Amino acid sequence: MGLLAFLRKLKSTPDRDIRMLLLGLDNAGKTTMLKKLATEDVTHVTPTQGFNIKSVQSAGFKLNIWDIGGQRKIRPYWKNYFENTDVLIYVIDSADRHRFEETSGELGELLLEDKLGGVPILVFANKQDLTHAAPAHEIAEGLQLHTIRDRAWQIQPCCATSGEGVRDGLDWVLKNLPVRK
Amino acid sequence: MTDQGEGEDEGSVVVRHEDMGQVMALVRSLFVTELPRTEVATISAEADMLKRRRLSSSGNISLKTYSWSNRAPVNPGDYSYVDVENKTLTKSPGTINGHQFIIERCRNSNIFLFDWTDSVTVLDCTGCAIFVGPCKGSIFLRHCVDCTILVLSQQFRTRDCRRIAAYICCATQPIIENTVGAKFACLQVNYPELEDQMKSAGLSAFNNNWSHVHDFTPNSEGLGTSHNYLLVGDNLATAKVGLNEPETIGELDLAANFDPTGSFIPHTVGLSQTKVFGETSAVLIFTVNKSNNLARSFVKTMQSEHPGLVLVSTKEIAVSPGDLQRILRTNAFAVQCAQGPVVVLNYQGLNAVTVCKKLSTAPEFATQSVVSDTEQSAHSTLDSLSDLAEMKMN
Repeated sequence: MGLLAFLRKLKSTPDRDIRMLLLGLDNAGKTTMLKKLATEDVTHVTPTQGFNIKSVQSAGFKLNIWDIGGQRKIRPYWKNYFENTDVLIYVIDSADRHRFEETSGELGELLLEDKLGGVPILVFANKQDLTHAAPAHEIAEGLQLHTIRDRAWQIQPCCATSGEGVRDGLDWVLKNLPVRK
Repeated sequence: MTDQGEGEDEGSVVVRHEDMGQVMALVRSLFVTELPRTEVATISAEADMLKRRRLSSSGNISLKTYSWSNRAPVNPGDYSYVDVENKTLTKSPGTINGHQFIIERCRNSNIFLFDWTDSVTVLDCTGCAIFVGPCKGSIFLRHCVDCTILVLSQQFRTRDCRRIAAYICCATQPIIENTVGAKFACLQVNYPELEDQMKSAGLSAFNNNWSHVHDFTPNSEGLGTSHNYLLVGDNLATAKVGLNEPETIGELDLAANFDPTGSFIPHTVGLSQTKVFGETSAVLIFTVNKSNNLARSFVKTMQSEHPGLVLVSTKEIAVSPGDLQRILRTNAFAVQCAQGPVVVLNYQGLNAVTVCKKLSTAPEFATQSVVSDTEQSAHSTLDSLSDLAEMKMN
């Protein structure tokens, strides 16, 4: 499902801008995810140095997706993008088992942020197609997702390069967008 | 339930003198095959619910089957080298076939992956020389010290590395983080299966950004330069790849060649060099019969007939007829650019424009290439095409 199809589905909710924030460690697949959502070619994606943003507008709706670079050095700047976030999409490289602890730590920090309080979170267990990938339930357990009590959350296995599983994640986002006044 | 069933077995005293085996089998078949089946069903429903609760705050997730859910299990050991010491190990063509590969905790070893991969991580290696064939996605080096890495990939990333020499052909901008003493050079390599493997990995030998390194942690913040890495543009320097114990590699009788002569990757001196080699010329060569062989033969001819001119950078990019018209200010090449991607060659040297123009009028290139008329238009063409390429990758 591309972003336009997603927007069309939103028609039942009142007119407004929707802001999605894509975060995760470097090499998780955030930009590939962003480009896939915008139905762009994903065969060549360069490591993000700052951020990428895609906007789609349709019948009074505007959807902005922000994809912020994930290198350790630039993670302190993530907080500059928290304001007015409607949904947080956290992307994990399921095949980089050595960094599950690191990504878990970053996610834990995000969940403590006031500005992201109550914001629904979709965790994409990306790169499920890879040889050394851990299944989503294993990652969910490692991240202790079931201990999250203050917001709606879901983990969704996917492969951003093929798009498999991405639509299921977006369907969840659609059902869990908070009603903003 | 099973306990109860066994209890009844023991209670069947009346039939004990009869053929116990048969009766037991009958009783067992009643209990053992039927009752536990429902039990298993209950357990799996509960497990499913538990699983759902662990995958979503609402527990409303559908446990859908994806293409990866039921794939045949692979032996992870077939796609990783872990704890290798003082050895030379090789994966020959066809043995990895697009899988992900992991190289971990290896010391003083030579590792050759002569196949294409999806993505590769190299972790905690010391004193190793590692060759990685065409990698469709990213290669990521972390905690590596004193390593020589030779790789063809879409992305090249490092973090927490010291003294690494990277000979690369990288489709995007190589990035380093908390990495010191790095050296980058243009990879020179060829072996019989390489061309097909490049195709499988979706890579082009002309899309090489080896010199366009981005440092996330420059040690001269504010100055816009980084002292963490060096670019080696010299053709001769790349020939001396620091492999460990080259005599053992010789024994492997590899058909691979790491010399500039016959390299599948054209040698480029690199864009970020402060050096200027003279006049700049931009050469565009179109796809003919779905192949970039014409560009290859242009580079080869230039090499042998005009060795004084240097090839600074190359690019292979799909350009729409509209974009090409905007860039070249003519629609004379609409048909050609619809045949496939365009190879862009940036030559520098004495009279580069005239020399390139002359070669481009040779019969084999005449209708399938364009050379910018002046150095000024060469610069603007190269800039526009590089902006276009960058735009497509974000």
